[in-house]
Amino acid sequence: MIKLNVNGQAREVDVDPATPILWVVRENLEMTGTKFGCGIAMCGACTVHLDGKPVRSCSTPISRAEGKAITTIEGIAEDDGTLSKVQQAWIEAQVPQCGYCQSGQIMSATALLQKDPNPSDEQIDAAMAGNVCRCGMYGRIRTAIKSAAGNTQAAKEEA
Amino acid sequence: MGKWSRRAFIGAGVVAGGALVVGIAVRPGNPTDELKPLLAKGDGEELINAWVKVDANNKVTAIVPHAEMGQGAHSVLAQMLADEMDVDWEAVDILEAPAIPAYVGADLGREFIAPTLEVPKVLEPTVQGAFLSLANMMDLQITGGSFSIRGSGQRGMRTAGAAAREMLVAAAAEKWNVPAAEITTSNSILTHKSSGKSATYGEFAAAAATQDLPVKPRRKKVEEFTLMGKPMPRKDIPSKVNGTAGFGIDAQVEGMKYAAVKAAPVVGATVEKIDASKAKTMPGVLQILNMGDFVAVVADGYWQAQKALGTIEATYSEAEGQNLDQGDVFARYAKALDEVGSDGGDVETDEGDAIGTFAEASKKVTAEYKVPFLAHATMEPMNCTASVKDGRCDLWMGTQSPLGTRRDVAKALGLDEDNVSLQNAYLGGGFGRRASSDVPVMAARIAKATGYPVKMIWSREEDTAQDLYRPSATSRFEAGLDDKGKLVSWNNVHTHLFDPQEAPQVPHYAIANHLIRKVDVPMHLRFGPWRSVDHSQQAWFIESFIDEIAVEAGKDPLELRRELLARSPRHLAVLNKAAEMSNWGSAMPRGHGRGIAFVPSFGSVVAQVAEVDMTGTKPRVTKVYCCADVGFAMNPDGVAAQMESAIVYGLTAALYGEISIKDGAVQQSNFHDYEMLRINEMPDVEVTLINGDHERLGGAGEPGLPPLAPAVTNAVFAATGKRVRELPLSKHSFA
Amino acid sequence: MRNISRAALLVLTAALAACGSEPAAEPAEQIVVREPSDLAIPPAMNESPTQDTALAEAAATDAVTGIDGEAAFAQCAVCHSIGKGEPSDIGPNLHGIMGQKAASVAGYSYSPAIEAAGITWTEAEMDSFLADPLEKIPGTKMASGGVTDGDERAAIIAYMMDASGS
Repeated sequence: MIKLNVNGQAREVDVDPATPILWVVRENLEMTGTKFGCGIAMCGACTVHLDGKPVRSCSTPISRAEGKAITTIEGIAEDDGTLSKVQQAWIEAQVPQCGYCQSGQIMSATALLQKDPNPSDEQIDAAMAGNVCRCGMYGRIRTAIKSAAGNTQAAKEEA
Repeated sequence: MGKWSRRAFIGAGVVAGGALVVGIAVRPGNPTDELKPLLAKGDGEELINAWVKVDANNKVTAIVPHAEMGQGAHSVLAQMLADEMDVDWEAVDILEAPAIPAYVGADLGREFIAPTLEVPKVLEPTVQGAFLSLANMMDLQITGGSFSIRGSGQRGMRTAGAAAREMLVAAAAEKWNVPAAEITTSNSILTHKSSGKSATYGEFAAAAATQDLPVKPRRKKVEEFTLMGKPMPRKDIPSKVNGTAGFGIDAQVEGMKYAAVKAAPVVGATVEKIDASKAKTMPGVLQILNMGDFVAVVADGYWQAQKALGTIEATYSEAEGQNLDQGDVFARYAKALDEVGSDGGDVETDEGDAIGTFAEASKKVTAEYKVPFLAHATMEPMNCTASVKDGRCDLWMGTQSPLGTRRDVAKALGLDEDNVSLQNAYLGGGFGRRASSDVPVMAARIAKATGYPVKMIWSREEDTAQDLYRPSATSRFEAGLDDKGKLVSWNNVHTHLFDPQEAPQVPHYAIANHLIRKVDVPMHLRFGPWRSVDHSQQAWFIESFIDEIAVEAGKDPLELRRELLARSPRHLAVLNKAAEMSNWGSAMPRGHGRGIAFVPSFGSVVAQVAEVDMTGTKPRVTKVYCCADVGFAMNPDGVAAQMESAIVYGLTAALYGEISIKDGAVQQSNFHDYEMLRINEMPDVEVTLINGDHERLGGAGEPGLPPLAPAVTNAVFAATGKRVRELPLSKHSFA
Repeated sequence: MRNISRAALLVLTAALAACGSEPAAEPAEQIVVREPSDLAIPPAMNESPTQDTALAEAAATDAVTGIDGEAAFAQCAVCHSIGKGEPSDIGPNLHGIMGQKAASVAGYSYSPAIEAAGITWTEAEMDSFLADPLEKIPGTKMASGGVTDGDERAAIIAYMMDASGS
């Protein structure tokens, strides 16, 4: 049994410790918000947080998560269901199209803003370049990150 | 859309007690004379479908016949219906029309595949005309061709909304004993001002259901729109920021197992032998299958299945395409084009005397362009969950073609079509890839062979190497200018024509003499529609060549296009707006350039100007200005988003997109060798919309793509003097 | 309506193309490892993990001294070759990486982040990079979770030097 902490809840799973976090979360814990995109950490669709840091869950074995806090897209809203600032900004800027990559985008953006509350364009590029959006909503992602950062002037100029 | 349950999709669309369900029921004896010839399909024809439901609690459900793949169709279709119906937008729910025979008369729609059987003009604004349009779309239930809004929305949802409103008004008029004309509607409330009476739609839902269906409900004029033309937030977006949106890959079915697959690398080859000695000892593995055309491993978990699959050694049969390399593909094209010369091949258009005027031209311009195969690379890899049991097959997936899928799966399993059902989910990208049924057929075959409900997921490697590709193609042009520098002759021959047929045509440009031809060059790879389909390559050929002609004629590329579009004010307005947005003609720094392209497609008109910076090691597109006229933008923010999206999809292809083959197999496998544009390379994009014709809507999902590649390569020429005649740009060195 | 018709035909064509030679629904060979009736027994996930893939080996590596560097490197080998002259794969070839400037393997398409990083792969730099790649170089394509164990990182670095003959 592997003991996990997922979105603040203690969970136990009986899996091969080499199983990537992605599949444990999706199949064993039945939380399907985290997405499979490439399997080689090249697209970011599977991004989750380990102790607040973004990792590509498709390429990170579950054994690495022992003793750490896993946070998924299902766990970033407030306890009362209020969406996080980043999620709200995502709706405001109407970011998602197909929406498949957006869990990963939001997890990367959330981690970025926790580290750099007011990121520059370069910092946004660096933090978000690992997340592919095939619908091409990069302009709106940038706008939403700036809006979530409280930098509404920059967000407006962007939009 | 809600979570999966078998019960939910079998029961969907069924009339609940006390609800008004507007749609239409056409049964024997019911059709009008006008309708009869279109319906004739033998005795017992029965057709029931619905577009909108109003329940007693005042909840309105819009039932939309299209898949939601990010283009926003669900929300905009509901928006159109809600506006005509005067319902409270906040109280509108959306349900995708289920692909079940009880809901759709499958035989009727099939008749409409024949292009001659259009909905007659006289029927278009009527409920029955709308119904026929919708029956057609619902039967095929294809989401493609940028058609959802201009087809189903304009003809179907609006008419249905207007009809529902009139039935509610009629019911209230009857009960209140007042003239219907004195009743007003707004926000799902009926009001009779002089008597002070008012009621919710919900209160009259049951009574409205007993009213006669209006024959020709009155649709709103553009100045009466309250929701149409407004940037309403999309209803699917909240579920796409919190992880609850249900995609095909998220299906949960009781007892479900996971399948990983690997097809023979060369299409047409079969799997001769497999060595699964290691795989069968691996944890979680349940079954290992050689399905002839592919190998499958079914396991308790997907990762276990994929891991075991990786250890299987397979040998494949000889296949026709196995010796083909990418160079041979272009050599084949060249040979076929050489053989037809300047006047052979299948003639698509022959107007005037292109050959004669070319022979006498003062100036001659010729060019040849080449494009590679392209994969779709949807973010959600191909997948399908299938259960085959007791002579039935149930499918859970995201598809652009639910009914086509049902038919193909039924055929593959030898089942009756009625015994195949499908629950559609959100699509994690479609772009044409999810219009084909190769994937669900595989999943159904595995489910049948193993007896398990199976969720089959393709690895990214499989998704890249077994796609239905945008074809590689070559196009050759000859153009002649007269002694005044006027373009008088246009002669084009290209390999491959798929769809739409008008993609290689240039009727918007005033060129007196045209000859446009194609040659077919068979290829073992599988092809499918790719965002904007043939326009994706033809627009690049045409707009690159127009630019080359401008250079030869000593004209500014914008000026030449203006001359050629002089007789088309709507086209000219779009071109001029894009030029104005970009401040066309203003000076740019050394090593930077600006390019323009203009392409009408899918009923819309789009012009784009791209700016490139060629001073670095690779081309960098810094800015794209886009002006689009989609007729009338039902949701302007949604249309702008589609333009932004198509620009990125087109730019990714122009910069990097290349699927190549070696020994008959695709060489690329994942995002490291089939590269995607990322945020750090994202140009600034500015979109302006023109509402040029609110009666004739154009598409939005695709028309933003075709002008992008030529605008970029024309800009590269402006910056460097180097003309790009083969895509992608990553093949070229600009050092 | 014309376009619908075409779209319809097009999809049908694509579907036909997809069917190709009409494969039979039945498998040519079917190996049943576990019968469906075995479902009652605990899933095979309980069995001891096999040692056949990089991730499995990495996870199974005991975090004590004497870590086999080559085994530890197996997790890197999923994406990286290290033999002299071997082509780059998902990640760049790592032959001779230690002591080199970052982003210097010819022909590999690096992320802008690592190109701009301006670092040289000393043992200390490599150690901090492997510990948390995204933290060290935000925007790197090597977005794996990092190697948390310091001894394991040291073993990997030692192996990279050995395998490069340095």
